[in-house]
Amino acid sequence: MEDRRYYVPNDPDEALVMKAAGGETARYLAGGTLVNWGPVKDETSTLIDLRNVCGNKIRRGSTGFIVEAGVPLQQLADAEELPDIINRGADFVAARQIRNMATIGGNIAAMRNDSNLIPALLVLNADLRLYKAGKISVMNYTIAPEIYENDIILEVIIPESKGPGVMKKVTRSNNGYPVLIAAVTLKPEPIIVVNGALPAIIRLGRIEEALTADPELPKERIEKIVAEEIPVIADIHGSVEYKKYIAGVTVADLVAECRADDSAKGGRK
Amino acid sequence: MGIRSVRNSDDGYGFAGSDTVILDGVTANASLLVAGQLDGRDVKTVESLSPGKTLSAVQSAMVDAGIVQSGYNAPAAALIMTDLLNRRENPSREDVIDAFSGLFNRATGYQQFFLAVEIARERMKDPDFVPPEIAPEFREDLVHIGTPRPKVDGPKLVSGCPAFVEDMVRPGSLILKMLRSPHAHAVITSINTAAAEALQGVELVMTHLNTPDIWYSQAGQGFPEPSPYDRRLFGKKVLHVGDRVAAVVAASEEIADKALGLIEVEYDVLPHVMSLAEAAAEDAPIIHKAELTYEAGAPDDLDKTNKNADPVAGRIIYQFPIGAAPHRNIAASVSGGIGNVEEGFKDADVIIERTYASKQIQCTPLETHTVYTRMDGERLVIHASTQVPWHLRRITARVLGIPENKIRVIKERVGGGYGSKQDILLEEVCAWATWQTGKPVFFRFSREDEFLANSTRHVMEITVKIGAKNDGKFTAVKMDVNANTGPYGAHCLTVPMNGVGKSLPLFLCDNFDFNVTTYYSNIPPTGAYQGYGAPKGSYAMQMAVAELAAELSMDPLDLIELNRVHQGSMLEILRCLGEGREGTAVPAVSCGLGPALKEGAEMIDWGKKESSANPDVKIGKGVVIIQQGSGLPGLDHSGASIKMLGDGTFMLHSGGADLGTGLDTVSVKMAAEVLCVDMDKVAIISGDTDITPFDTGAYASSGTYFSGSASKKAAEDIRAKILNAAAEILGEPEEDLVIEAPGIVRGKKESLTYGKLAWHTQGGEGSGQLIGTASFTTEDAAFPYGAHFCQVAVNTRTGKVKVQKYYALQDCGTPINPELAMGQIYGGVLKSIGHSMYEEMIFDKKGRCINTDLRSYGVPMIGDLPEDFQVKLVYTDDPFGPYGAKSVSEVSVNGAAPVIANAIHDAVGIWIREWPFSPEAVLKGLGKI
Repeated sequence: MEDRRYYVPNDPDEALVMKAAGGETARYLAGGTLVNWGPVKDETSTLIDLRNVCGNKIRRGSTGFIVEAGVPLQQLADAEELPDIINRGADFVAARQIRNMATIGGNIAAMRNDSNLIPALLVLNADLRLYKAGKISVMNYTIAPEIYENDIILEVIIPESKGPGVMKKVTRSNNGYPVLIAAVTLKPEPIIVVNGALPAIIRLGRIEEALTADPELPKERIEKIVAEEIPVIADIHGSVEYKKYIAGVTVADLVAECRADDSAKGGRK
Repeated sequence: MGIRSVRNSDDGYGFAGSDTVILDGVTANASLLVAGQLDGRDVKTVESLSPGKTLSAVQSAMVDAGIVQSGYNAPAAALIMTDLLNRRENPSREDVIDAFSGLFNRATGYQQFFLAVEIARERMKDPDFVPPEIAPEFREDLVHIGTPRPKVDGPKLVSGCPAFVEDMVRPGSLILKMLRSPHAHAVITSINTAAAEALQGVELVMTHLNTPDIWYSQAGQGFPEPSPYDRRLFGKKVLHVGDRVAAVVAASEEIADKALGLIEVEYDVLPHVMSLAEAAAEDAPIIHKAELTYEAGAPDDLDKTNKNADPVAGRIIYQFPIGAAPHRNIAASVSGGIGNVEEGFKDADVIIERTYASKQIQCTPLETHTVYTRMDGERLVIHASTQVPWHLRRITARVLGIPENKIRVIKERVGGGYGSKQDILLEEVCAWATWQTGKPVFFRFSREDEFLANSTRHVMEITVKIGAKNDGKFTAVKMDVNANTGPYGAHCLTVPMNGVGKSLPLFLCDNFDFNVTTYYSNIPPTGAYQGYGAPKGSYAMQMAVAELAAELSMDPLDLIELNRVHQGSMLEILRCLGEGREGTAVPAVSCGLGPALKEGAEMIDWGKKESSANPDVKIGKGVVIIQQGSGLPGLDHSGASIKMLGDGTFMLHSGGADLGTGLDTVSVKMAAEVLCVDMDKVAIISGDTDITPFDTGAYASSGTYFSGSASKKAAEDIRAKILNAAAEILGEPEEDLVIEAPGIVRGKKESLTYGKLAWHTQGGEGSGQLIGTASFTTEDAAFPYGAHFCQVAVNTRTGKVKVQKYYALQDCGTPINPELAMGQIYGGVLKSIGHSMYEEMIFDKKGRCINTDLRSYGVPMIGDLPEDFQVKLVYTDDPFGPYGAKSVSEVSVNGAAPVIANAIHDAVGIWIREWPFSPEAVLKGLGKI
């Protein structure tokens, strides 16, 4: 293994310069749970530690919550002021050690298919504040993350939720890789996002349209539309048949949960 | 930095948690950190908890609660528990589960962690706190036996002191790395190591071209082994993805890795076989078209068979016939039975015949396979993480072509073995490297190596046919076992046989029949794994009994009661089930099944149908009975010696190989009980081939029964010598003397302490140092039994099965260490829940395992614990076991698969006849997909 270079910039500008100088194998380092992860760490030549660049505070803004990118997942899980779905998304990371180390910014930037947080942020219509690009939606970020590869996520802006957001993780064993992560909200409009053993983080447009057209769409129809819509391949987590089936029933169950919660707490504690 | 207490169980995956440290006040995985991240930050390791010799409240609580078994990640657990109690003064069950959510513990099953937290919480307030009950106590007539006592190596392990092989590696030692086959079945047509050998820092490159043409078995079994000698250090043919191609010994890991990349290998890739059906097919590729040799009992047609041998395939040596026909991929076969099953089936009113199957699963020890070899003058020293020090010495001596007295094996603490460290998987390669270079060499399997090259549980397909009268009485039972041994035949006869031998004798029937056939294939190697075939046999037999009960419209518990073994039952079927020798019918001299079934049924409210508020969730209950053995009577052998030291304390040398189960504690308790001294008066060294007497090793559940008996017998030997010497000193007849606590010989006139006795005997005019020795062999068998009950909730929409209640009622005779016995059982049950529901090695079309990490493989963690998980120790007094003890280490893995499957049937009416019971399998069974 070649020697790695390790930098701790004091501000975003310095970090950007270091990233540019480091070339393709330079990586920003937040908590380290992904960059240093066994299967990938040898590819990295330059590590740029963002500890002095990204803060770790949560505060209330004018339209929602501002979560600095360096906030660890455990802090998110414990932050009672945040929407339930964010607490759950953070808590779905099974190991406390990882929750202590991993940060919200790092989790988003890594775009892993076992990220629970990204679906949660998507259904809440959350935004990001990047140092260079400024404010963009999480949705736009996830569509083309490579555009922002050299940029730095500074904050995550979570709007006041207008409806309950719910999510579920489907795994075989408690700490196993997710076959499926699904997040659903119905208000102000249906947003349904899935992640897990899929080709990418996917927003299910067909079922969203169907639920917009018919808010009382029966669960059997939801199951069928989701199963048809979701792109899956067979792998160690299950067959195509199973993945389509479980996606259908999981989304249908979450929609039912949303409907039941609709008049409850408005997605807030 | 030289801090060994931060362990590596998963090569930087951040899953196992053995690498846990406290970073700026919170737990973190050290292997996910690079040095730069630590700049200016506070890092605490376990060394921070007990700067002196005194254990912290948390550490002492862990030892007391019995959760320090293999101890490999005990330092990590201590840090996690400390962090928890610093955050939560009175942690809830959920808090404990959350705290340990990132710690993989294969040994103890987590359940006693809750107790440890309670003890630690109280001890942090009051350092002298003594918990009211750690575990139930047995044998009021005895002092140490049957009563919880701290594990003798507990403090050392929980403190993170050097204890494991990796801790013994000296600076400057060479590193060995293995080049593994990318093909499941191929012939190496050329191999060029010149560039690798030329690399600076490379000491040695090993291939089939420069290593001994010696054939051996990796199975650590008693000699002569019932396993074929069908491999050499490096073969010209590779037989599975991950098979050895070459090894590099170099000054550093980086150089070794670079050298591996410089080795040029060309292969002639052959068709491979993975499944039993493929291996048994008439036109199947043959894995071992080898020249066959028999040390005894060669078949008449051997010459004819050998005419078809392919020289590239090498040789196979058999110590005696094991029913092998390798030119048809048959590694071993055996048949047997009692009575007349055909007549029995004719007499039956109802007959069922079902086939049960299972996938390949891994042992996943926290400490991967590891060895360190070095020279001591002209002798080779092997620091090993092994269950079989003496078999390791014998096999290594054969491979190296040197006498056994040139080799010393030191068994270090073992960070989990579960059977896989009964096999010689890497030690002999490392030994050869040191023998060639004269230099110390360290070799450690990565976690991926474990999945590619560690021995696993045999894949089996078992067909059970049972005939019964309408009242449920069995008239005939037939079991056909087809097993897949993979590329090599280690344990190929005995593991599948044990599937029969530990499942049929649970029932009484005049007519039993069995057939076992084991096939070679190109799956990763198989071998010994806790339970040793019994979990598969138990799954098949217990499922078939439950299915028969359904066919007869009987309560399965009633059907079990009607046909089960009782205390005193003669187990005739064992006449046909000797391990490579003639079997013997023996009685079940102690059997706690009756009370176990009664208490378990009461605990789970057997017969009461439960329901869920969720209409998609159905609740069901199951019951099974299980058994194992206690070593191998007539085959196993254990030895021990004990000497009195100058102050009247004792040094016990036990041949037993404690692999974390607490065998050393068992041995010390035996000696302390016999000699009427506190346990701290008996120190122990075990499993060192230079120092301690011979022992066949820790397998087949032999530890307490064999090694414990040897220690007891050695203590009784020195006790007799103590009385003899004291009689002379005191001038009183021996029959007037008694030994009393704390180590006093009391006569009618005077008494003598052990300290004074030592002074007398070891003075120049004395009789000499008192030393007791013993070997233990026996033909008497002792069977541990158990009844397992469970309640599951099956979600019919998602296929998810939740184990709500699991009750393991286990008869291990007198539990020598009740808290450690319970830990063994909790660990075995959770492990087998994992096997039954989550774990599965998955292969691509080329035969490569594609889930080679713990997370994607699916090991159970604390979040997978049954909601209500209880172990009950059912006391019996076995007449043959030491102080009435029987084995406990393996039996508990035999229950989960059948009891969960039976409960699933009770819940939703489907029989799942293949492991694992994944949600997908359940949904298929329900016809949902």
